[in-house]
Amino acid sequence: MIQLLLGNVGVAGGGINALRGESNVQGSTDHALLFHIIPAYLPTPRASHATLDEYNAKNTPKSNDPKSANWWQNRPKYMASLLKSMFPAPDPAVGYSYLPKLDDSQNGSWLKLFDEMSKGRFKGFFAWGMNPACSGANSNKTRKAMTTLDWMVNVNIFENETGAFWKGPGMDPKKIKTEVFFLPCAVAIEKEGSITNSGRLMQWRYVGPKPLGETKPDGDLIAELALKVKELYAHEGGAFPEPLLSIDPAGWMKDGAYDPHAVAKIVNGYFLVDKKIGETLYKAGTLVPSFAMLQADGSTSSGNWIYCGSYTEKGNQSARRDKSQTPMQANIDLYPNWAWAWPVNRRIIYNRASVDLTGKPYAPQKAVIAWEDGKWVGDVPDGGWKPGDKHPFIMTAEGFGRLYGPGLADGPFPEYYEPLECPVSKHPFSKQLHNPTALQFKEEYKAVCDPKYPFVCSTYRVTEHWQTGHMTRHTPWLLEAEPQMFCEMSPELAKMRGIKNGDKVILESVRGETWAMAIVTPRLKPFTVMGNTVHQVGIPWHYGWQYPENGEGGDSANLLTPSVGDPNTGIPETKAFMVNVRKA
Amino acid sequence: MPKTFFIDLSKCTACRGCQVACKQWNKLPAEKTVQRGTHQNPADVSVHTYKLVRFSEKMEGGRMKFVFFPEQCRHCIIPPCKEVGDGYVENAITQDQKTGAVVFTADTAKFTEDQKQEIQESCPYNIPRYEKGKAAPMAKCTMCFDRLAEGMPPACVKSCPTGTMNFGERDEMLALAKKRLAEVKKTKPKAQLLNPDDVNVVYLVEEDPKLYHEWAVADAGLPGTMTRKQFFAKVFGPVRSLA
Repeated sequence: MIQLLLGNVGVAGGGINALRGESNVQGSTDHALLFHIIPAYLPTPRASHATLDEYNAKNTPKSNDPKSANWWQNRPKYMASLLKSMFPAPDPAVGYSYLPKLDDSQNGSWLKLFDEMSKGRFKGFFAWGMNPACSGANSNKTRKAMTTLDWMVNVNIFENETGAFWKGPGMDPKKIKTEVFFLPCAVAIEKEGSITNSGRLMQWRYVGPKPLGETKPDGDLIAELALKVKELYAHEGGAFPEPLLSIDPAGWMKDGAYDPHAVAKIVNGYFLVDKKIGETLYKAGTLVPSFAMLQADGSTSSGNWIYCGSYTEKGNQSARRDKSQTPMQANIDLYPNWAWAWPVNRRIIYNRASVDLTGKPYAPQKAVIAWEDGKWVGDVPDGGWKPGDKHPFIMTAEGFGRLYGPGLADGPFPEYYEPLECPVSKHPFSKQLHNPTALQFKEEYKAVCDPKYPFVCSTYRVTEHWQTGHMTRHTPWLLEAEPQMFCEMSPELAKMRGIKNGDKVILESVRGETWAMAIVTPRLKPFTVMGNTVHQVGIPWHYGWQYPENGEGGDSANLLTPSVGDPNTGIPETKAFMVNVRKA
Repeated sequence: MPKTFFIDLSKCTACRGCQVACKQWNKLPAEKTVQRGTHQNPADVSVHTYKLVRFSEKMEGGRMKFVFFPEQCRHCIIPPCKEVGDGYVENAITQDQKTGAVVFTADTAKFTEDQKQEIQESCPYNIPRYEKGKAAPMAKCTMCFDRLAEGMPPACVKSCPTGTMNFGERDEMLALAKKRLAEVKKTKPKAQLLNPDDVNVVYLVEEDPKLYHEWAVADAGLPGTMTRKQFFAKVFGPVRSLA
């Protein structure tokens, strides 16, 4: 909102630059990490969209403004091409009928998923490169939910708290039915493939060291599994076998192994029939050069339309390492021939917002694009139309930047609410204490001004560990530097509770308890909130009982955190909740 | 002209990349540590820890001072450890003419435990370490002289993401140090360079050096606080002046 008001979108050095927690979060989100989208930001089909026509009618925005590019009007082309990449043989309408559908109001985000699992609504679970027994809010709930599973497949580089949940604290292995399969996999540097950063820059990576022992890249595990499942369905049949019989795992492989180049080409997309577009004839079986050529009739495929153009007949564009640039590009440190950015190698999106209606840059000293001698120069413009022909924000139906987002659960403007667990009973400047649209489970008690849990707790990270610490706890020099769960607190709080620096303490919340070593530091200070003294403690979330052995590193901070999530994204509220702290 | 480290503590964030990179390059094992109420771990330099980021915090005039000290051997221009060591086993401690690196060779195992202790006490910065009851070599930072021979910077310098760790020709590093000192002094009047004329590891501190670490700076002019060996090292060394 602020960036838009400042006119700071589409310009060099502007925009919203999300700082991701992992090098490929952008890439995994593009390829549908989240439940509400399928690849390339197409909405997940819902139960009321029974057919492809209904899906398209419901999800294709319309605009009567001839100046609005309304780019999502092309959605049916992208959906049809995606279906053809997934199910090569059948017509897109048939392919669509193979896709699973969510109920219309169904929320499939993290907290909801484990809530459903805790109610026994899951048979099996793939924990792929994740450690939910430590990483998600309310670990006791998550770990207990896993006991309802018939089976779990844990794909990781080491055994972890998730795969070993059945022998964890408070668990009786004799009473747990879950069968766990552990598939040790290769680490990132042992795999070939692409990484996309939050600048949408897709960079190809080569294999470094070979995978250790019999570990395999994820791609091999998925392809071999899919091949086997398809084979079993072919031999034995089963409920609704058509979708599985229609996928083509063999097409993802070469000489019996997963082939990242084959998959990158499927992601880019192919012409499936000879196609004449303008004056050019594109032969069947050739790679589509740009998503502008994708079709809604099933004559093209593309596993992810925004990546169309990344792997073409000219080769793997993301593997390019050419530093050449024009002086105009050099002026803003733009390297158009180094790797490849979606969409269409555009490095700064909404760049038409950086020029006036005649195509003249508002900031000529750091111009992104400019209209010179009847053509655009600089970056790849957001559409090649002449200046002033189209509104600059081509992905919105109206063509303008949105100061607030229609369709959000709350808003339109940001508002301050107290966390669902908090130390005050009244909001100082609103009648509404908590966000009424927060994701939560009403039957789960929240500590609001509860004397049993008087202190605010925040979870955070240290440089030495990463995420649940699964990789870094196994790296001796990092464990040496940050060996154990700690709890930072002010000298005032420590004195009140008789805690000395380096003492072992117990943290308790409504949901569980865990131990930590006290770091008493004036870096934390008591707050005065509405006339009362409020203490805060801080804990890292990098530890788990399973390693180091004997649980001597401590356990997850998420044993304490609530199953409360942001109304729109479901991101858990782990930065503010209520605890008690006492000397162990 | 020896090589010199310039360690600009106005840029250090205590990420400890240097501490870990040192262990990785020198194949030093992790020590068994526990959380002792501080982020500093291990607790001290040792035969397995040549480089240690020390953490220190203090309230001063209502303001929080939270400072970090990536400690290592200073590779003294006239190293007292070598002067003492040479009295017992000639050249067990060497000083490389080309780089100025002060290196504890395998021959330091030949020192008796008393001699090792004397060598440790001769160091104005309390750096050299040995294992009690073991006829093993003494140990400390090597300036990664093996990397230098291949034209690579020391591991700690290579790993530093903030520009804290700098390494190069002594005159260039001193020039950089003086330039940075002038810049930092504008906002931090207590800023100073620690013993720049005596050592090849020059720290720029923003606060009183004692806030960073008891042994951050060598005490000059107070012989009573020095050991006998430190005193003689000073006496027999060239006349020094602090910039």
